[in-house]
Amino acid sequence: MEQFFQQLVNGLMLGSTYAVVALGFGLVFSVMRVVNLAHPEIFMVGAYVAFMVITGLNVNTQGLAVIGGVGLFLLVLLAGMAVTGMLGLLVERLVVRPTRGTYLLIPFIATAGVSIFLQNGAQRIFGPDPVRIPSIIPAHTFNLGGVRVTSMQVTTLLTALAIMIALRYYVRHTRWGRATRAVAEKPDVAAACGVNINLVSQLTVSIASLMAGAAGVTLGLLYTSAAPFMGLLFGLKSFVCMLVAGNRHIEAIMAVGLILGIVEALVTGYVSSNLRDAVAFGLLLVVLFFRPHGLFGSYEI
Amino acid sequence: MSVLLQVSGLEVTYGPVRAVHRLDLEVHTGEIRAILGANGAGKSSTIKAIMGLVKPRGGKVVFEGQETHRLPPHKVNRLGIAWVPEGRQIFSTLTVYENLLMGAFGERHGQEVQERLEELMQLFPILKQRREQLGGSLSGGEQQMLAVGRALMSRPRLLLMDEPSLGLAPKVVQFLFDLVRQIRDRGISILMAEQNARQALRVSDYAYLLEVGQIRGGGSAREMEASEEVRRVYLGG
Amino acid sequence: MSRVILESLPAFWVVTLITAGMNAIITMGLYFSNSAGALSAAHAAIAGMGAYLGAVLTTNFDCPFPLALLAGAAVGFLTGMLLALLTLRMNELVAGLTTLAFGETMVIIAFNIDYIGGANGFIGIPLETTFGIVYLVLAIVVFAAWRFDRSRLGYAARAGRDNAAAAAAMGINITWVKILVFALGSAIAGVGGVLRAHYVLVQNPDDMGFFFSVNYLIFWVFGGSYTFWGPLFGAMFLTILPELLRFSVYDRFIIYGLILTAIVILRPQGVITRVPLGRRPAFFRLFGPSVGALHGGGRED
Repeated sequence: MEQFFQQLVNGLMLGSTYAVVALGFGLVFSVMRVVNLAHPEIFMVGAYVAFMVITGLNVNTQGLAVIGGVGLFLLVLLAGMAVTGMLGLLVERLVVRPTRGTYLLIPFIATAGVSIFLQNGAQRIFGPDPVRIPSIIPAHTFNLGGVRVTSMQVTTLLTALAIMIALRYYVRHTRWGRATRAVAEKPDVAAACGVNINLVSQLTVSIASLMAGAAGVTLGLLYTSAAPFMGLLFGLKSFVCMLVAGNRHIEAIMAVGLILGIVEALVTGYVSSNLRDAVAFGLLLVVLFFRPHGLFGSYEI
Repeated sequence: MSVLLQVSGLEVTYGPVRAVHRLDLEVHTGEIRAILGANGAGKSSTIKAIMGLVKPRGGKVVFEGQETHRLPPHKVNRLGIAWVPEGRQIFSTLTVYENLLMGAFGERHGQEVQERLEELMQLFPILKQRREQLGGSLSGGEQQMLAVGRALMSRPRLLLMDEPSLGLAPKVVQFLFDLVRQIRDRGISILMAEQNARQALRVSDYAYLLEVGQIRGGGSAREMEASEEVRRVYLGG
Repeated sequence: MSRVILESLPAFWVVTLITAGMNAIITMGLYFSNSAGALSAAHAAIAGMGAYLGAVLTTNFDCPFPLALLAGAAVGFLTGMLLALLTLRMNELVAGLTTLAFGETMVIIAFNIDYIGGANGFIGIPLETTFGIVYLVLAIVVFAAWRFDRSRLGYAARAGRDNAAAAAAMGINITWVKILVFALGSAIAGVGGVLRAHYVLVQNPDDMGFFFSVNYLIFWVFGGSYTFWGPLFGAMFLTILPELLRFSVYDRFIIYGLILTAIVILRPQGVITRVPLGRRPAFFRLFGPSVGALHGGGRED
């Protein structure tokens, strides 16, 4: 029984990261009707920023107290988000804006080009092998009734939760969040109400990129490594989450991400780790089979 | 009465299709003007071009002395023009309240927005009732009121209405056109595209006849109603 | 004749040209499959399935090569039929995703079948593919595409893609056309797969994945999906381009990514929209979910 809960908890951690990245995908797709294939690479950039900041600062991570560790973590997180946010702005301006509204594959391919560029750029700069990211949160394992949770796992979960709550608040209760929902539904009408569509486009892609960056930082720290192609499989699974959850509710994407993480962990623990990656696609096939007329109903965020 | 809106030589094309050709029209302050024409005559394209949703191939749109045909729709809106789209087009995933707030998006002062909201709730008590309901759950007539209310939230000086009576029950249509008069009485000028010539002429000051993208004639509403041809073609004899 | 050409080229370029030819064959298969409006993200998987079968036949059963090619075509055809049937009622996006999921599932299945090598791939495949054979097959496929474009089936397919309702009203059995056309293209992909396996001499499960299928889609869109010249050009150009950029292993893909993105943004209708040397323009149409003027192109403030 203990193993079950252990896997549950492990899965929750990973799932929360899937959810965050999937939310970014979903945001850009439902508002801009664009599949940003470079999104997982932006996630990867986040991890590398964490690597650069931590090794660049050359802090003695062994002797850090909790406050120091958390403070450093926040610094790294902010740095990662800042870089990826700006990267998102660049991608929006140069790639998304000129191609949105055209045939779905066009922005898809254009962003595919960006992802190739980023992957190989990372390889060029950091080499093809994973780089090691020193952990900065003082290692501590909490024991909750037999289930072991590390401090970094807790940090990952908390960060993801914070992001999800912030996003939900933004979308539901702020002026621009409302405008974003309006644009997702009827861009012409929103524009005629005074909404600057280009601005909403920038905002949306930046926010999605910030989120991806944050996920990259936390995952990089969780697995203490960053690699040029870490975005590929992770991104694909997050994409699947977005598809399975549909566009109606932001909460659905969050839920699916968490569920995927949990199911994967359970499958790894109880069945076989080879099949772990199959869970996502199995899920997709099942959902597509039962709801072939599309998972995308009305475009609610 | 001064000229509020002046459209000259408007050309709108969609690829090889010419929707609007050499169109001239004006709206004077305090007037209700109608564009009459059958389906596909180009009425919507004209309205959209004025709103900035469609970039005209040629011609000019001048509003209160300022050229607007090259501006994006959100800037046209900020200048004082609001749009009630064809088929209501309210945000079905937003609440009634949020729909109205969207109408006043350009206005940042929360106080100001709340005041306008109050006024509108008085004009449309049913909206007050349905405040927290999702736009998609309203009936056709209620949605139309919401669409109009949303447009009014930006305190426009010119209201563009695209086929307001489409798909509505006769009683609602009646109410709607009375409403249109009330709006005009509050100092807002209106340009409406309508297939329902009878109702439109009843309430307008002036009307244009649009056929296959070109203006075939225009005159005061009374003249139009009296005209043989108009009677035959648009009013059913 | 071909011997003369081959002798005068450095071996490296021969390899590149053969690879380009094989890519072109599979991309032409994609051209057929997508001509009725489908969007296949499974062609690498289909090619892979053909490849596995063909490889097993020649390696384990000493089958003559032409038979293996036929087997590949047959597998491709059947798989294509299956996929087409599966996605018949789906909208374009969901259908595309289903093909994607299918492809990934095939990868995982292949991973787990030890008979064909499992994760290590199937090795020991005899070298059967030559420059001559590849270009002979390509020539046949190109000829078939040329005839297809002018045939009743071709017109029916394009009519079905552009406006399914109108096509049906004209008496075209759009269901059959879609299935047939998709299956044909899949058969061609199967042949391409067999050729590839007998050149690279190894067949891995990963070769069937999303990444490679997207590659073919990129060739197809980049080149211009309206005439068969487009995919032909796209595959050849994008295969040869990285070789032309051979400064370093990573740099060339960095530039490749940039070029891909730039060209797709600047020419979303594809590089080739006109039949080369002909006066008949390939009619370009912005198809895809139309979401109003405001989701189309960025208007400057």
